[in-house]
Amino acid sequence: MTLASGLRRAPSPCILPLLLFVLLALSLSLLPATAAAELAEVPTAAGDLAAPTNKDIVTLALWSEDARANDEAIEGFFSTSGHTNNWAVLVCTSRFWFNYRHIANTLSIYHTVKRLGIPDSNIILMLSDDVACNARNHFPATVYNNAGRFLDLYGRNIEVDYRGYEVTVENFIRLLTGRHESAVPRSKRLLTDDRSNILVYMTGHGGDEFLKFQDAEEISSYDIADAFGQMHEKKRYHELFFMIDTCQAASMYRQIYSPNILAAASALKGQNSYSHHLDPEIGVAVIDRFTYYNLETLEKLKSGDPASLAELFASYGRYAIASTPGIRRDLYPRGTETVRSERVFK
Amino acid sequence: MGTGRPPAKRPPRPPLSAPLLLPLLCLLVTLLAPFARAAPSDETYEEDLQLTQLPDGKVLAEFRFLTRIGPAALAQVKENHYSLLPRAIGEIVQTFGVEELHLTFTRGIWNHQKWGYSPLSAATGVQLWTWFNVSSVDDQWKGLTHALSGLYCASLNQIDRSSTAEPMLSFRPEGDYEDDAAKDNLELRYGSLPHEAVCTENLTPWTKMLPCQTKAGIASLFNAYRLFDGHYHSMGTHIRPIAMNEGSARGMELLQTLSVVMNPLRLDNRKDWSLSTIFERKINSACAIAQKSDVTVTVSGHAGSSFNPAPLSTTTDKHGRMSAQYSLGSTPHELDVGVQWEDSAVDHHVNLTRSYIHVHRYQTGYGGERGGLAVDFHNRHPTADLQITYFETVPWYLKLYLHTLKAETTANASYEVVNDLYFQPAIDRGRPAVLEMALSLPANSMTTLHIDFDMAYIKYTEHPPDANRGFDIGAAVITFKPLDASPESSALQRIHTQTVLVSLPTPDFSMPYNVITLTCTLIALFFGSMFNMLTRRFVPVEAKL
Repeated sequence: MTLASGLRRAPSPCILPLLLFVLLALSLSLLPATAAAELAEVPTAAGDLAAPTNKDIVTLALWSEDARANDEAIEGFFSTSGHTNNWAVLVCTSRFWFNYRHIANTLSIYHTVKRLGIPDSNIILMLSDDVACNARNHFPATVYNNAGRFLDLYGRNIEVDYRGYEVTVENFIRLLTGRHESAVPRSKRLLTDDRSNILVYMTGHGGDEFLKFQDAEEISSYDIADAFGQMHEKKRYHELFFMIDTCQAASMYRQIYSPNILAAASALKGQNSYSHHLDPEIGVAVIDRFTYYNLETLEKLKSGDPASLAELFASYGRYAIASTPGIRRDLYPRGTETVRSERVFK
Repeated sequence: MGTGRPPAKRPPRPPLSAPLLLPLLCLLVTLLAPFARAAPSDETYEEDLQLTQLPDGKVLAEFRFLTRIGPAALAQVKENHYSLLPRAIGEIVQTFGVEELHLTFTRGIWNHQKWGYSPLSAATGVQLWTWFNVSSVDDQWKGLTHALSGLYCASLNQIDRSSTAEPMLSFRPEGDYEDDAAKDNLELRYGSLPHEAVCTENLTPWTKMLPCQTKAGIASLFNAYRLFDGHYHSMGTHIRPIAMNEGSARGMELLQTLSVVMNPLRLDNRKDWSLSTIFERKINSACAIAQKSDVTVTVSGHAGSSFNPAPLSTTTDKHGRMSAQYSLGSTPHELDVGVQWEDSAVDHHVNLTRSYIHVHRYQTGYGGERGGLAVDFHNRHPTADLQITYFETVPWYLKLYLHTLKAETTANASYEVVNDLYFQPAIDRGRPAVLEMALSLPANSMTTLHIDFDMAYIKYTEHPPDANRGFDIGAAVITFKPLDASPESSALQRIHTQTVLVSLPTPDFSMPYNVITLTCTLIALFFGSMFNMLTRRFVPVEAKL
């Protein structure tokens, strides 16, 4: 009985697609002629281009009145580089009060990236000492990067993710490569993907192919290169801008081999990096030269500013910085002329 | 769209007209109304600021922010519906099975000799103790410390197994429980970080938990530049279950406290002060959510002080201290309370009547091999013997010898000082040594505890980066019942000793490099010359004439 009823029902599934097809054909024929033509046009338009970009498809979908105006709006909304989120990893590796300037360097960049729009949840800030509430600090709960003391970098709303003894080579590598214990909270993780543009800024005391962490251990340029290599394999970044302010900084990016990495360093191999100026009331140097002259450009950036990274690099003056900044472009085929500084730091 | 043809025009879609939209919206609201939850009424929030001018001229400001969540609201929290309770706190409490939590961040030492006792005084650094109602406590404790470290931007995750203690006598659950059996089922973990920095990044997340943050109410006085310029500051987060009304259901209490000691004498060399001089802020408005927001100003019974502006009421307590009450709700304008003095005399005397127990802890011995830990307990009360509980947790790298524990008292030699003793030996890298004692301090005496220890040679990778600074031993906790407390009251007073900085034998960290360079030089010299001698062929050279 069951077999018989199954046989009897068997033809009905075949009828359904047939019915659907008829309906579809009917609806197509009823469509306005213009729309049908456009639907047909899309593949041809795409055929003209080697590969249709997101932008084109979106422009079509918007059915815009004025192509150019929409183009600009989309240009402003979507990144030309294809990334969807920005992250920053800012590391000060120096301990002790007399290295105040390294904390100030890091917090200056923190201030810049936050001002340009990266939220605290996307910034991993590593400070290896507490200078703001240090007993030696004449101005408690502040960090200044200028003897004029115009701007308190510590402010009222700061999130330090790794501080004190937690700033170690191991934690830094774990952060980059995403190998954490399960208990580690989200605020201490770099939750990036292959659409993330990351700014990695490091400052401290270093030498030929190494950077000291807290005067107790070193990270070598090979460690950094391998960490970035692993990040690329694990699709943890889209583009990465590595900036480092230390003595012989250019030796730190030499071993990097992964694609889409742009690097800028404060000094070439064999050169020292110097501090910029001293605040007599704080009693120590408050900022390094390379970071200072970067900020001269970056602090003037506004959201949507068209200034490119190439312009930032061109602003580096060898005599002002007192060392020759190194820039490594060979892993970054896109070229720095098209990259807007505001985008990298955002 | 640089190369493509311009997109074809299409008639714009007619916008949804307003007359059509309005009924639609109304319909939506009427449909959804029964599903919208009314805010639970059993949540209350109160804030309270007590400003006390201490005899030595310093001003103690104690902020209390009290949120009470009733059983109904707590049930909603379990469904992830939050109103007054901060979500971050609620999630932590639920995830890790926390029944009670006490977390304090402190800089400086509470000088109980001069300032008396304060219920808000805490150990220097970070102190955390938690009662759990779950079985796998060690995992939950680890998760909790990590979660709190992310929440408060502190290195709380460094409280690991080797620095976690389980006190037996000193701490009791402080909340309201159904019966004693419910208390006995809880498990306690205690950890501290004596050398943890406390700064703006810890204060900021803490203030974000307040319903009005720092925008209104007494919290608008929070000015990090001044708070961290004080002699002592401590901020605490305390969670405990409470019985809010009749019935067995328990609510939850979240108490956030901040106490800070400021010195007007240092600021402008006068005893006079006001909120605007010590905080550089005034209270502009009350927090609208707060049921009660009171400000109380208290001065010791010196003549010649006047409150400014005029208070709602004044009272005088049995110690002769005068208090002035203000309420934010009744003040339409900004509030800038203060005290003005006719004279400028300050009293630096130690107040014996109020702080009759005083404890001082220090290290004894010399050298990098052995040492001792000594604690002086002063009971300055003229007639009463006092019962206290002493709790000490010592890291494993100081190896305590229990047989060297001595208790001596200046009073009658036959007096039994030690009533009870609990000692847990340390396990290397596994757990700290815990020494907990119930002591009886005879009236008007000094009692000294002394215990010897050996210093461990720790691995050179276990030294912190600033190894020559030394290792901080966290404060010991002394718990006792205040003398003026009623016999049935369960209120306990805690005081904390100083932290102790111990120098462990520190290796010369550059030694391996020295050894390597020296060895290499020797090998090069020895091997080089030997190899040279062995492989060189000596051929007589005929002299050419």
